[in-house]
Amino acid sequence: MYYQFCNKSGGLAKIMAETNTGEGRGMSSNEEILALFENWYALEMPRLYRYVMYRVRDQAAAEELTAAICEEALRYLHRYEPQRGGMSGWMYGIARNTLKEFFRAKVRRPASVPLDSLHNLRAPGHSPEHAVELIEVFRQAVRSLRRLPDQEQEVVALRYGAELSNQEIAELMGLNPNHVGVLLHRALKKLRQAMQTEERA
Amino acid sequence: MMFDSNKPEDDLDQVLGSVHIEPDAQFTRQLHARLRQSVEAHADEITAARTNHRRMRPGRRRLLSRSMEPMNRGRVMNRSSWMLPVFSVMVLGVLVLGFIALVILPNLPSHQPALFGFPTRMPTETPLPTEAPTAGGPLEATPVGVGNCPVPQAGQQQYTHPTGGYCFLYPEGWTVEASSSPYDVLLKGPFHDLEHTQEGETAMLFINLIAAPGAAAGVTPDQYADEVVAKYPGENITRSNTEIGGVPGVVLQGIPEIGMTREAVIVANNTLYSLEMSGTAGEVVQQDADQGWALLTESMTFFAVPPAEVVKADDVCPKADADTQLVIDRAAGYCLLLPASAERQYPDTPIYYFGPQLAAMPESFEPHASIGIGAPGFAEGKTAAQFAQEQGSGEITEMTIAGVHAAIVERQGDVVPDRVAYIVANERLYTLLVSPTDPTKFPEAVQPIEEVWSTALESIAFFTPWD
Repeated sequence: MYYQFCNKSGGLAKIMAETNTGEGRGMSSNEEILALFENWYALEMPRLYRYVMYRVRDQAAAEELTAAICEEALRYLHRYEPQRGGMSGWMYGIARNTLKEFFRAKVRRPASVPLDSLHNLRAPGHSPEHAVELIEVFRQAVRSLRRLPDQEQEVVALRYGAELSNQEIAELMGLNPNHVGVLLHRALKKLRQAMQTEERA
Repeated sequence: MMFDSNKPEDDLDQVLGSVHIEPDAQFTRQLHARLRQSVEAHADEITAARTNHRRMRPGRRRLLSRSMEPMNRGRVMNRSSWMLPVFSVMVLGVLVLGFIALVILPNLPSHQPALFGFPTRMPTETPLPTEAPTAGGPLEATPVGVGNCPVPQAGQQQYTHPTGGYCFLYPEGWTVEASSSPYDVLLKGPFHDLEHTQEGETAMLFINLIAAPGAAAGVTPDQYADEVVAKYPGENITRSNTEIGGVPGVVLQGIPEIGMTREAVIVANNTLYSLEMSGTAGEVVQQDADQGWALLTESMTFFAVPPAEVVKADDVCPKADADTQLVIDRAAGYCLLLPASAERQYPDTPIYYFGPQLAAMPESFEPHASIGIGAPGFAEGKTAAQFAQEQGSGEITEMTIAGVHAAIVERQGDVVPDRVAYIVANERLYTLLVSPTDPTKFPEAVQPIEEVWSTALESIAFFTPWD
């Protein structure tokens, strides 16, 4: 799994290894940092994509943004220090900033694809009948997310898209975990109300 | 069925926790290849940057810890007086390295291409026009030349946008980044060595020209504010009057758009300007944002520039009759006709449903055919065919729509097939999307879709936003 982005001659890992001077106790080598990133990517990219999809609800945009976030992370990989925190937190910090720029650049420019086109939905571990029911409600929920304030949308996306814990979300958003719990509870309640409103409409 | 319990949010928790949106397999493969290319292309940059970063940090830490602990520093110096010059040289070296790493390196231009929106390229010096441009029409603000731009004091920098007609001061340590729009810029606050989880967070302020220079004749900030507020019925958006650059404006707060906390709208020199502050997570970053906002709004100066070439909506948009309705988006710069019976589902998304109920439509979809109009932004030099190739997966037909180049793709889709037209007009990308387009599965949708499609393509016109 390691060095999957590197070419056969060693690519970045080799170059990084050659420049690893061992300076600075506790600092990880370049090779280790790249390996950490690759490992994170291999395991966590689908969650990152899911988080982005929750936020933009547009497949083409979500794909482009996920790619941009990974490339941005690669570009700034030299800043990452594992001693100071996990890679997930670092990656989602980059993701949040990338999304902010995206939304501001896109301000008041509507999505080019109807929200109904949410593809590739799976409900693993459920019977086919139950999965169909879950997916149907899920589509309605994601469609109604737009009715929620930004902060609540963000909490929902980080909790269910990125599958982060309340503690991790709290660190990312500069809140305390209890506040995250309250926000999440309130968001789900509002989301349900929004779904009922749209159903009635 | 679902949500029968007393705590419906618990059921929703189960639904959201059970259903996964999986990335497309083709996308995953392409991303993998793209990252691999990126690593190979930037191996030298990443290695060099990381080496510099690693060399700089321990020194910075030592320096900081010494300044925090003067007693320790004293003991070191007393123990061996010959260490003083050595230590001085070391400190000097660390300072120089720190300066290079903190000040010079972050400001070196990067050649990384922008993927969308704001490019990651760092700003270069803005060329000032050799002489003040002249105004091209009636002016609402007192016309001032670029020479009236504010002079930066200590701890401040100045930026002039020669074609956007504005200049302002911003705090030292911030950067100005260009946008995909020829008139807009993004102001980014400094990076703070805060919690690792907020590494990517910086304060962000946006200066956007909602209307190109000279294109907002007769438009008032209140009109624009009214349109924004109307889009969000029931939301608690507060508005207040302000004055920026000697021109009256409106400040909106509480717009439920992602990442936005505050927007000021001003019309100066027949140009509609928007200043926006993006929401932030941490207190330190919020302080940055407030500081940047205060300096930006206090120093903002507008000057007259030659007006952009303006295509007026009234000159190009079609007239509706009894069977049709005119759909016009002044902010996006397009208009077209749709059947009078087509219904818009959401106030903030231009998707219209029409035709009979479609029995074969999946339950979670609207049971009607639909047309969606998109205006994702500037085309950045790409052609319609290039967009179609990048985003479509079916056969591409190139044609002319509204006198400009367009490309149409028939997409199969996983659930409901659709047809997308990519049109590049006035340097912007526009899309039209109709679905479902499977005549076998949805035969009753064929005629209404073809009628709407031909009406839309024949009537669509493009104009300068906010003319």
